[in-house]
Amino acid sequence: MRPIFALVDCNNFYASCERVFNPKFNGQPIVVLSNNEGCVVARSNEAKALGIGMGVPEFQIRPLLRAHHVQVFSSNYTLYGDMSQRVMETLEQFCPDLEVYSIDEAFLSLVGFERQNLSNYGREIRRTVKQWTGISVSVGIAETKTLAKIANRVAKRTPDTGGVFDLLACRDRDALLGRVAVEDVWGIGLNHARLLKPHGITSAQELAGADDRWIRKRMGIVGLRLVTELRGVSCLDLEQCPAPKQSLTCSRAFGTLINTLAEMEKAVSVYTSRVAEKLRREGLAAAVLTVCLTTNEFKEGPQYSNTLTRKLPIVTDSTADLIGSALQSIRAIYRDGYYYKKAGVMLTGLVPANQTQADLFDDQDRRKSQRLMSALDAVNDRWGGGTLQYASSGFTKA
Amino acid sequence: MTGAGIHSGDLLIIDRSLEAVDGNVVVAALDGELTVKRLYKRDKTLRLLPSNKNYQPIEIQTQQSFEIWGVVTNGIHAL
Repeated sequence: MRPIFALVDCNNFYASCERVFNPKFNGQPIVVLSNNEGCVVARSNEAKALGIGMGVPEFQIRPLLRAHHVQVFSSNYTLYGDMSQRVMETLEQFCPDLEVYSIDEAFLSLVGFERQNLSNYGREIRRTVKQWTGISVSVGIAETKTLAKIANRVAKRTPDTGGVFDLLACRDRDALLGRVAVEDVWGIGLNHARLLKPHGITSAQELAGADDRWIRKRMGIVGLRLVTELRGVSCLDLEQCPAPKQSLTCSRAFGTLINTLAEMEKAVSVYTSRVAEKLRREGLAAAVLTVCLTTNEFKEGPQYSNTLTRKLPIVTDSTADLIGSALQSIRAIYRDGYYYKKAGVMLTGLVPANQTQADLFDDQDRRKSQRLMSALDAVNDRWGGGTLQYASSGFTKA
Repeated sequence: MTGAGIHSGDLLIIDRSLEAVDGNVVVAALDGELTVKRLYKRDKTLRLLPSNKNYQPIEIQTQQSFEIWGVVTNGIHAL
């Protein structure tokens, strides 16, 4: 059976979430800033039209924001996560085969829905998501994921599509692919585009017509798969069971700059506790722990950043073990005399917690530690994160 | 909306999946402002009716930005 994919993508997702609860900002330029660093992470169409770029620090565009009365929000990830879940649950009503690709995108497999007009089905999805959640989505339909991405782009950028574009029903596909710049193809970054352009490949259509062996040599098997997808042969299936996580991170900027080791240890301890909670929630244990810290490169003054990755003595999911290692590492890379803006803790070498090997030299009672962690998580689930925490995290609720 | 049993400070349960019909209590966004009113929807006339007699019904003009945000199904009143 021929695969059919729909990519449903929320328009300006974070900005749209803010508008659902603040309808007075409909039609007005709004931007959402990342926490603390204050870089633009989402823009409404009106803000894009003002030329506000993605990732720009707020202080660089402050006059522009003022002049055009741009509404500025700091990001509220609890809200966005909740709204995302509502959108995805609504999509599940339309199609049981669904891959949540990111917080604001999902692939749907529309195999079995061919009997109805797919554009109409797309419009019904769009209308329902809008009514149930208040979020506008665009729908792109095609026989491969890569083409569905392109169809979605067309739906989003061409107002007379009404937000839904079915590439299967498009009469002049070559002309359409000819208008898509090669760097806008899913998976082709600026680096690949730079490599392709001197060889006369500037559009999606030209990329689809490239020689297989040449692509394979320059862009590897992943590139060849992508080109094949552009030709309408599906190589990427729906991934309904998300691949096991490769890494878990907790990294964020401080509310106020930190310039003492004691404060830094506290922050790293809090971040480690968070990431350890995530680890246990996924039923995983970690073998490697990385810590990093950095000063504020946008401010004047001496700059320093460093990262240290260390193998943990044993594969573990215990907050105590992880904090112990994280503190050792942060002490090793911390330098006096700097104002630090940000620190982070990353866990890698993740394996299912029930598959860890016992260590001959491990002198701790693992079962006891497990019970302790279960109790810790249960308390924090019930009374809120940070209710019960390690003393190294400080005595205020994190 | 005291006439409809809704008081200041109450929590409302809103079902966005319901299609609002004449007589429903709704949360509406009128010119960007959220408001709770009873919906009058007959022929082509749309009105928002306050249940407090001190307020006047609002006739929705076509040039106004108007959106039904959701249908109010229940209210929770603090004692």
